[in-house]
Amino acid sequence: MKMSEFWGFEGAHLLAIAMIVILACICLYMARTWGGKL
Amino acid sequence: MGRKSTIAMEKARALHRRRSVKWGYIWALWCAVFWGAWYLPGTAVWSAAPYRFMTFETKAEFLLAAAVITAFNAIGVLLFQLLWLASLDKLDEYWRTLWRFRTISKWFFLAAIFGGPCALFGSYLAIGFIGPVFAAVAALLYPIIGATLARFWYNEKITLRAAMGILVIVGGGVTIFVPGLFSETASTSDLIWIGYLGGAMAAFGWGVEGAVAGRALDVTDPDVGITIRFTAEVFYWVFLLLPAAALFYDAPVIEQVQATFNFWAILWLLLAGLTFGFCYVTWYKSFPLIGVGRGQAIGALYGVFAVIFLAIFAFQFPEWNFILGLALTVGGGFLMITESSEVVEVVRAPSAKQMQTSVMRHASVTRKMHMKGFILRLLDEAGNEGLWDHEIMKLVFEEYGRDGAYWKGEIRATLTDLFSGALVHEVEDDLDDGRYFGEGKILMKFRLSPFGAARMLETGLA
Repeated sequence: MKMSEFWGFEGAHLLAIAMIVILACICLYMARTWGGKL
Repeated sequence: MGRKSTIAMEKARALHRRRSVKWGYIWALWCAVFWGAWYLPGTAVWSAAPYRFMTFETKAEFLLAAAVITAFNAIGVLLFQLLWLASLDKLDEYWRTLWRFRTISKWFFLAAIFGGPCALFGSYLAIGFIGPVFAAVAALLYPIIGATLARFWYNEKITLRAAMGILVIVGGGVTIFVPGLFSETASTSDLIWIGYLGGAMAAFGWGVEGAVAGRALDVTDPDVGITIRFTAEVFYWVFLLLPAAALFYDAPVIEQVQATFNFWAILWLLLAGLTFGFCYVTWYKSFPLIGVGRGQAIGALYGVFAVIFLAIFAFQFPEWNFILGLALTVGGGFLMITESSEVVEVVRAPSAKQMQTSVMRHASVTRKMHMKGFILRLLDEAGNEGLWDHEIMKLVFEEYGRDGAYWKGEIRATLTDLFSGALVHEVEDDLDDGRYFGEGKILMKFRLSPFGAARMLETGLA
């Protein structure tokens, strides 16, 4: 399978990378702050 | 105490309870999001060199490819989990917990066998032989196994509602699996049974992993516990499994590893490590708050996110049975989420044998103890008198040189964790006037429970 065959549209792979990194940053921020919200 | 104070106390107590359960579900949901997202890099890596050039005409060739990918995935996970620990200022806790192998870490090393070479490897087999949608949905049966084991091993409470939720999730899993056994799928290879076996391995492995890890999670920090579990998995792949494949099966392991070192393959494997690593830390974080069964069941919503992400980014749309299975899975998850927090609060019910008071050796508290163990020892030494949460906080701050709002929150979370695991009893409470954790918050006085005493003996903390 070629990479182009997996991704549905041009730039989909870059969008996926961005989404993953942003979600990770948000999650890490929540991990630093959740204890104070208990 | 005046009526207003009583009302305020009850409100604060109920609020704390709701927040603890809420955060348990939030962590489990984060697990589902990252787990679902993992199927993107987890599939994309098969389209990178050298894997996209491989024809997979033999079983051995495919198994080696899946093994090398799984090993790299595990290394990526460990790297990002160490980054997670560094960000949360817990690297020293990692070392303090890791060396307690005989009584604590061994359980994470055992959990790694089921989670790695069984579940993760099985998932990559399923992705490669059948497809990511099948792989994502096939593993949905894992909460059944996890909840059943947790029920028998440590009497984790499963309410009727939670059991119904798990059964509905099972129904979703069956809906996904059965039609696929009789219909054609993406591959017409006669090796396709390996893909189905991989799906079953994933369900079994992840179910058992959660229950096994639960045997040590009540006395360790979950962030640390999962990092130790992946330390073990990396050890298994790099020093045992891949060398064994090279030595005993003459597999071209080194060539495969070398060929994997190219930009896109490494990028996808790092992203697979990031998503899987964060999926796991949040999964383990949910267990002490809402229990293994519920944590796994909500985590099973990964199927929803996997299907959504694959549809958005790869235009891969599921068959009708996948959609129905997903609907059942989501329904089962909601059955659990909507259960009252008062029911969920304490997730373990120690057996009568475990409730017998144990004779404790009053060892002196040492600096090398990990934080949760130190807190248990403090409570042990305090005896029936118990200790207030703010007193524990002060002693922990002194012992470990900690300070600040973040560590106040971590200690409060740890005490909530210990309470949910039934290792401590709450003996008294009060309202915070703003001096400790925040005005209007509940302050709690804890005492070590007989079950907590037993767990300390079992895990060498006494």
